[in-house]
Order: sequence, then C-alpha cells, then structure tokens
Amino acid sequence: MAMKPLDTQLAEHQRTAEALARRTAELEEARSFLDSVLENLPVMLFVKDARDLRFVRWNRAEEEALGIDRAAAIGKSDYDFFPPEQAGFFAAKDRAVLEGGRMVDIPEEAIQTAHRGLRYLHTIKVPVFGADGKPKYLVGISEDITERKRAQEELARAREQEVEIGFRIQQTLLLDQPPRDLPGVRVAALTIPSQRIDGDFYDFFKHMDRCLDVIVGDVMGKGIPAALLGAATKSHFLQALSRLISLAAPGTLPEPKDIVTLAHSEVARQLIELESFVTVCYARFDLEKRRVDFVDCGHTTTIHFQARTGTCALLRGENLPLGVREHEIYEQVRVTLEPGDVLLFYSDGLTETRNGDGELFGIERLAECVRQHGHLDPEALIDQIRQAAVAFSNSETFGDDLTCVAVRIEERELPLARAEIEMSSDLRELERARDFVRDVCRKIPAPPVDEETISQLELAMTEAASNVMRHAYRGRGDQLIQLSAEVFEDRIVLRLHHLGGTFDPEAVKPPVFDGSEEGGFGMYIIAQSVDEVRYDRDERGRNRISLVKNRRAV
Amino acid sequence: MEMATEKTGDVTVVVLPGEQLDASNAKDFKRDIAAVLEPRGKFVFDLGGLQFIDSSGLGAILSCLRRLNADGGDLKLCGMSKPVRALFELVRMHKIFDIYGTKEEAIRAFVK
Repeated sequence: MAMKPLDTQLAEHQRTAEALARRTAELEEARSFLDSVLENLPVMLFVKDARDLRFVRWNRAEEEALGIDRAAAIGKSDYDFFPPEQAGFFAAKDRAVLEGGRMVDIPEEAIQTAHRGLRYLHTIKVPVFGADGKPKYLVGISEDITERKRAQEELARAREQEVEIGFRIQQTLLLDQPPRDLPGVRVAALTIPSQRIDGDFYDFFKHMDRCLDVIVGDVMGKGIPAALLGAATKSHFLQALSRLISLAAPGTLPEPKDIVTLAHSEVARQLIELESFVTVCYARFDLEKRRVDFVDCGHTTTIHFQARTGTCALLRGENLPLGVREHEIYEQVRVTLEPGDVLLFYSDGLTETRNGDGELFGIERLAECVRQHGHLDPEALIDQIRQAAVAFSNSETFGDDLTCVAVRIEERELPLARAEIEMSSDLRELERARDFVRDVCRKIPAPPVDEETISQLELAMTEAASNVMRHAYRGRGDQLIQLSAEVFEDRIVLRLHHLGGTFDPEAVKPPVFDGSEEGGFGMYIIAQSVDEVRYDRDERGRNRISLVKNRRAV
Repeated sequence: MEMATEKTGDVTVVVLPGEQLDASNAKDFKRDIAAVLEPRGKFVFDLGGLQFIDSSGLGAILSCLRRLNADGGDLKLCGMSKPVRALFELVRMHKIFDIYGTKEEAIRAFVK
C-alpha cells in the first residue's frame, strides 16, 4: 500500500480533529440543551442509577416541590429523605420497572415533603438501557396532583351531600305513605330515586272513608331546587284543599278542579318567575259511587286497566301544567270504575327509560305490562312494572326518579251498622259515651254482641274518652269530641275524634300492679279490652283514636 | 255523695252509692269517703249497686285501702258485679284486695 504524502496525512488528521471538535461541540450543545430542557421542565424529574437506586439527576421542579436541593439529593437514595414505608413503596416500584424492563405508571403516591406536608404525586417511571441491553438508569417523572385530588374530593363530597339532602327532602316532604286501611280501595306506590333527585311527588288525602284524593306531580328540572319546588307545590295543594273544605257545605267536598285552580293561583307566579313548571294529576276516587274525577295538568297519561275486558284505556286531560299561564282555569274529567279496575299514575322517568339502543320504554310497553298484570295486587303490579323497566334498560338504576302509584278499586265492605254522636269534653259525658257504645251494640243485626264484649268496649271507650278530656283537652270541659262506631261482619270499630293535644302512646309508663300506684292503668286497660288501638289523624286533621274489637266467630 | 254506712260490731259497712264510679265522680267519692274513714277502722265496701267502674274509680278505692292500711285499719270488698270484678282482675287488684261474695262473708272475715 502506497504511503500517502505527509501533507495529505496532516490534512486528513487536521480534518479528523476538526470533525471531532465539531462533533464534541455538537454533543456539548445537545447535552446542555437536554440539561436545560430537563432542568426547566415544569414537571418533576429525577434519574436514579439502576444498580443502587441513588439519585444521579434531580431537576429544579423536584427541588421546589419536595424542598430538597439537588446537592442534598445526588448520591442519596429515597431512604435518606422519606419515612421508611414511603421509601419502601418507591423502591418496590423501582424494582418493578427495572425487573420488568418497562414503564410503570403510578396514578397516585403519597409523599411526605419537608416544607409542604403530605403531597400526592402522579409518577411515571421508565428504565433506560445501557449498551449491554440491561437497565442502566431509571427515569422518574412526577406531577403534583394534590390540589386536583382535593378538588375532586370536595366535588365528590358536595355531590354526595346533595344526593343525601335530596333523598331526605324526597322522603320527608315529597312522598306520602299510601293509605292502607281504606275500605274499597288498595293503593301501592313505588319510588326509585336517581343519583340526582327530581321533584316527583305524591300525596293522598282521605275524606272520611268515602273518598280518596291522589295527587301525583313532577317538577321540571332536577336537584334540590326541583325538590323544594315539589314540596312547595304539594303544600299549596294541602292548603287549597283545607281552605275549600272549610268553605264547603257540611257533608260536601270541594271539586278537584277547584282545588287545582286555587292551588295554581297561589303557586303560578312563583313558578313563572323561576321559569319552571309542574305537571300534576289530581284524581278523586269516590269509593261509594265507584268513579274517579281527575284533573290532568300536562302529566303523563294515566293508564286505566278495565278488569271486565282485560284491556287498558289511556286517560288524558287537556289542561296546561301549573306555572305556564297565570289565571288558568282547570277542568276535570269523570270516569266510572268497576271492582278490579286499576288506575296507574307514574312519572315520565318510567316511560322515558331507555335501552342500550336508545329506545324509550314508552307508554305502549307500560300499558301492555299493566294489561298483563292488572289482575295482581297493586304492590305486585308495581313490582312487575319495576322488573320490566329494569329488564328493558338492563340497569337497576335510572337517570330520572321513577315514581309509580297504582290504585285498585275493590269490592267495598260496607258496615252493617254505623252511628256517630258529638259530645262535650266534660267528664260527666262519659256515661253518654258508654250508652252510645251499648246502643250501637244492641242494634247490631244477628248475631248479637255478647255482654262481655259490650262491657269491654264500654270500658275501653270510657278510658279513651277520659284520657282525651283530662289530658288532650287538659281538663277543659267546653271542647268537643266526636264518637263514631262502625260494625262489620268480623269486627266493631269505635273512633274518637278530637282537636286536643296529640298523645304519644310510646311515652306512657307501664302500669304497676302491686297496689302502690293509684293511677296509670288507663292505657293498659284499653289495650287489654280491644284487639287493636290506633292513634292517627283523620281527613280533617283531627286526632283520631281507633279501637277495634274483633267479633267472635259464631 | 251520700255514703250509707251501717255498723256490725266494730266493722263499718259502706254501701257505695250510684251505679258507676268513673272519672266523672271519682274525685267526689274520694272527698266524701274521707269523712267516713277513720284510723284503725275496719271497713267493708259493698259494691253491690255498682255496674261500672273505670281506672279512676279503681284508683279511688285503692287510695282508701292504702290510707286505712297506713293507719292500722283494713278494708275488704264485697258484692262485685261481673264487669266490676273483670276490671279488678284485669289490673290484678284482686290480689291486692280481700274480696268476698257477700257483706256477711266480709264481716265474718274481720271477726276471725
């Protein structure tokens, strides 16, 4: 091989040296560029030596976030700064990265900082391999997510609280218990609350044992505002009802359309101002005449299951929802009913339930479900409806509250005899109360009531009436007590109605039988003399004591 | 209330007036009987005319027993009608009172 001339060699050497210098300069530049990038990254970055997990790099963001200078960090390990359990957690993750040879994402790790207390980091750890294919370094990048985490927790807490408040408003203010002891009708109600409460509400008013008013409503919107509007609307109905009852001729009831019109006149302006509205169905069941008068104010179509034909009819009114137009006059519609007929009221949360394909459950499916199961008890019918909605949407939870009320007309059990009297709260009237009981019992068609039963009823009535006079009316003799008696095939029901203080049977001490106490036997005597004692309020808001005595089978 | 009393030896028999003793007249009864009861007295209450008694009436009779017992006297009852007896049994007062069918039996029980 021929030698190159020296000058050529020198020139080549020169070029090589220049290239090397240039390359070195380029590398230097790249390195300082990288340094600068790493240094100024707004995320925390460290590099550990894969052999001993000691820090070899520590950027400014690390310094600031953890309060540890790089001079203090370089050459040290996690165990030098952090509590043992935290350092152990970090080291375990490091080993997972190095042994697995791939990136590990740690969505949340707690870290005790020197100057800012406990912080939470989102960290990604990546292995960096050497020429031998083995991990040489471990790079960690972290982001401080403490503030975000706190904000999320706050938000979750606030949501939870809203759901809780909403649920309580619903249970205490919006939903009433369906009546259970009304002859001639059976009522069942169901609510499945959603995550965010709606303003669905329902209420029941009994008028003696002859009529039952059912109100179901749905407020536009969601959340606590809707729930409060629902509660307000509901109370306006109660107010309108009691005002009109006080104006009505004795023995008559105000018409549903007048109740709705009056309630609406009270609530319309507020609803319009709040840009909300309420759909309502007010239905009055006359259990003796077997018919329903209802005022539908833009509510979902009521389904009427007709037992005789086994078909469903849809009942719809023409009225606007409440809060659409002030001074609206509401009209009512009358439908006759037969035993076995069912009326189903529901919120649109039911018919607007969707399946996976976005289809609505819809009124046809609902009516079909009612047609199939209309012969069941209202509770069982409603359960079938719930199951159908769950099966359709393939979910146990719903986007909207799902409320449903079923009212079924039954063969009405008419009392064989019935009587009422009114007396003053003077203790001298006790004898009259007993005479009333005895008279009713004597007039009962065969079989006659035996003397022992009459005595027990007289005793229970005396004790109850004397409690009302002495305690509920605090000994005032100028107040009124109404007594009523109803005799059925299998039982006698005595009732006392009064406007005195409410009595809490739970607060009564048990009687003492050793002769050391002269009083405290009244409640015990009542309980022992009849088969059932009930304290509640009647349809006029009076306190009512019901004494039920079963008749012996003959 | 006028209390009709008769003495047989040292036993005083009181015939309870009226057909009923309830919350309407129990207070009057307590007041009027107080004038009749005396310390260490031996008393028989004849309940024969009583058709109805309630917890207040029973409480009034119980107060007589307690008062007499406290003063060294005693009280026995007799002549209870069925409904009156039923109430005494209901609140287990038949175990607290000495109860006899007739007034003669009650008086004899004192003499023994």
